[in-house]
Amino acid sequence: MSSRPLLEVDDLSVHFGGDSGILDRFLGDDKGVVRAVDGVSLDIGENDVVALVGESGCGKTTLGKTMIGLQRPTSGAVRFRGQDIWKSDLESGDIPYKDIRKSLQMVHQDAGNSLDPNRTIFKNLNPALKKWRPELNLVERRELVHQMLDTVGLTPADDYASRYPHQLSGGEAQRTVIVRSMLLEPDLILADEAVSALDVSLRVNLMDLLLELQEMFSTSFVFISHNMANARYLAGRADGRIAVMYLGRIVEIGPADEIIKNPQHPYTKSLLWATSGLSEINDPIESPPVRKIDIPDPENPPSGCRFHTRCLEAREFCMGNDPDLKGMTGPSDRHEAACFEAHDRVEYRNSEPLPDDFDDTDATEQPAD
Amino acid sequence: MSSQYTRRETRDDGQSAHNVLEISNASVAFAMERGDARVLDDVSINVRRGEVLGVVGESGSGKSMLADSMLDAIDSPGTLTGDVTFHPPEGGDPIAVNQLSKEELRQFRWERVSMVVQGALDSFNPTLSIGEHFVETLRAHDYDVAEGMERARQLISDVHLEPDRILDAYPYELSGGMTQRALIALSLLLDPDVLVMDEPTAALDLLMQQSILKLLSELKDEYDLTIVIVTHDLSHVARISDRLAVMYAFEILELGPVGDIVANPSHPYTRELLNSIPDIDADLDEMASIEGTSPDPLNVPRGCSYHTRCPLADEQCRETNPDLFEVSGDHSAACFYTDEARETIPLKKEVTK
Repeated sequence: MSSRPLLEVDDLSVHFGGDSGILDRFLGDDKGVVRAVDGVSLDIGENDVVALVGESGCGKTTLGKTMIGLQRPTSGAVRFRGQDIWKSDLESGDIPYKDIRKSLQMVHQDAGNSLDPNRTIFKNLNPALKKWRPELNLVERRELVHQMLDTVGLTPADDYASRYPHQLSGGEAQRTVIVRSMLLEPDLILADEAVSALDVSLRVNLMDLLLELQEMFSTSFVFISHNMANARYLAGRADGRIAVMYLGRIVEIGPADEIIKNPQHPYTKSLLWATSGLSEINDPIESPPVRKIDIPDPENPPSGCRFHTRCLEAREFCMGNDPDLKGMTGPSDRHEAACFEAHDRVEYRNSEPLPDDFDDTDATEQPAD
Repeated sequence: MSSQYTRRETRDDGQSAHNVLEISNASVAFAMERGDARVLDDVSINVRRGEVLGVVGESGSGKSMLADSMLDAIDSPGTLTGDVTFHPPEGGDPIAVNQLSKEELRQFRWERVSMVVQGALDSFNPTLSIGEHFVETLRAHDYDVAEGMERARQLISDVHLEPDRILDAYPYELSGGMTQRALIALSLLLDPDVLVMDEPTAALDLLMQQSILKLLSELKDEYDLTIVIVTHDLSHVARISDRLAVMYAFEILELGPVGDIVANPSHPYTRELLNSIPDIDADLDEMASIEGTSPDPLNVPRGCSYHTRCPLADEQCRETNPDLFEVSGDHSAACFYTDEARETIPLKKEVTK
């Protein structure tokens, strides 16, 4: 029995830019630095599914890439089965870097572009197998590829294996890329907006396929999505979690159903406002439940709670104090939110609500009344 | 057994006084090496004054071609045939849009019908500030610049942007959501009657998408607009639309008031499409994709173009392409078996009208 998570993300930060010289650093001038990920901790278990959601620029892709070792963190650590993935070559090697690399795979958003247009599907898939599964000979590799193409519904497999990428539809290319990542039998797959480029009518199919593979191979999945409905489908069906990110932080995390039906953070609520269900079709759209519809400049994030400049619940206490991600008391002990209002903090309750026309210095817009 | 006797073919309702745009028998063809590609196939639809018409279809359904036809903006070597007629809301002679000269067309666009496309950044010249785009547009159409810029400032604040900052900014300095809103403001500068939007929010975050839709419904009332929104996402556009046109394989398969389309979809494709949408309220076990793929423009099946994927298809469907038949009142569908479709393809989520 192992209670140790597959992947531990520990107080992880990734900062970009700010090519400041040593003098600037000395003077503490870090202007121009984007804190894409800022102090995130998250555990991914074996056979676990997590959907990361948030607006563009919230850091979800950076967090994902750092989790699978494609991006070096500025501080903090990512541990794979207990071992820091950036120290795997140095420390008394439990798990060599090579193995970690193979265990953490990625499926990109634009599948068509991540295949070599001048090679057939088999030749696109073969090199990775050859490198990582040297024990297999060509015949075995071919057999394995055909088997996987079959599994994802690209039949007849030998026909698809001999096609070129331009002969595939968008959905077929996406399946091919999924096969490529699965061939290495990874422990974790990061799927970055893997379904959002597809037509609406094909999405459920592809999500079902991902979930089938997840179950079949007991692979853990991190799905990145800006779409709450997709995140809920993927995480909900796999009994997984949804993590909501805002400006480099996870602001709420919990079981998919809890997040959708019982959201605690005002930002999560605004994302759900933006996701119309068909049952609301006859209701006029309400005003956005935020003060401003634009995201603040990530180079200059707001003080205190980063959402306070857009939050309708914000009070003065939120301007100077940064809430931690803390467990909610309620039906699910796995539900956490970073919000003073959600936790009903005394200091929050006793401070003044921000005025309706509240404006911070870098504000550019005011919402409609 | 067909119940065709109950149906009449939907014809023009003779209310041309209420129509701002009438598209009849519009087709768009591209000559390709492999043959002629028909990317819009004999489509007729009227856009009513003051309505929001949602045109919904998957990639390659011809929806953008329909939008482009409304401004006679089909890129060469594509050719548009059929008639596109614009009825000035203030009265006066109808304008045959696809017979306008180049110069007349230049004026018609922006002043009568404006277009907003996906990826606003590409619509702006990167070397000009946003303000210069407004000035250029006013000059090109011989409008008074000082007066026009007053309107520009009003429009920019209407889309929740700060006029001073935005007019001085260059396109690359703005976020995607800001650029898209600036483009919407620009498109309304010359007070057009119709705004045609092709996936106006597809590249944006959900919160921004929904905010822009909310904005559009406000702008529509304020500036007395008729809006045509083309999108792949039915659930997204339904809340602000009055009517929906569902497109598949370069034709309109179903047309009607939003409530009817969603609560009582009559074409098998619309029913399956609705069942396939990942819906935030629906039961997780109740969603399923449509099997198969949409046809290639060079190889559209004869008969009903959906018959290759349709569970109800029979000999008649394989041979004859159904016209739009009236289902009830304002609601029509291009299917021989709309009653059967309701039984064979139950909706997984009942929506009340």
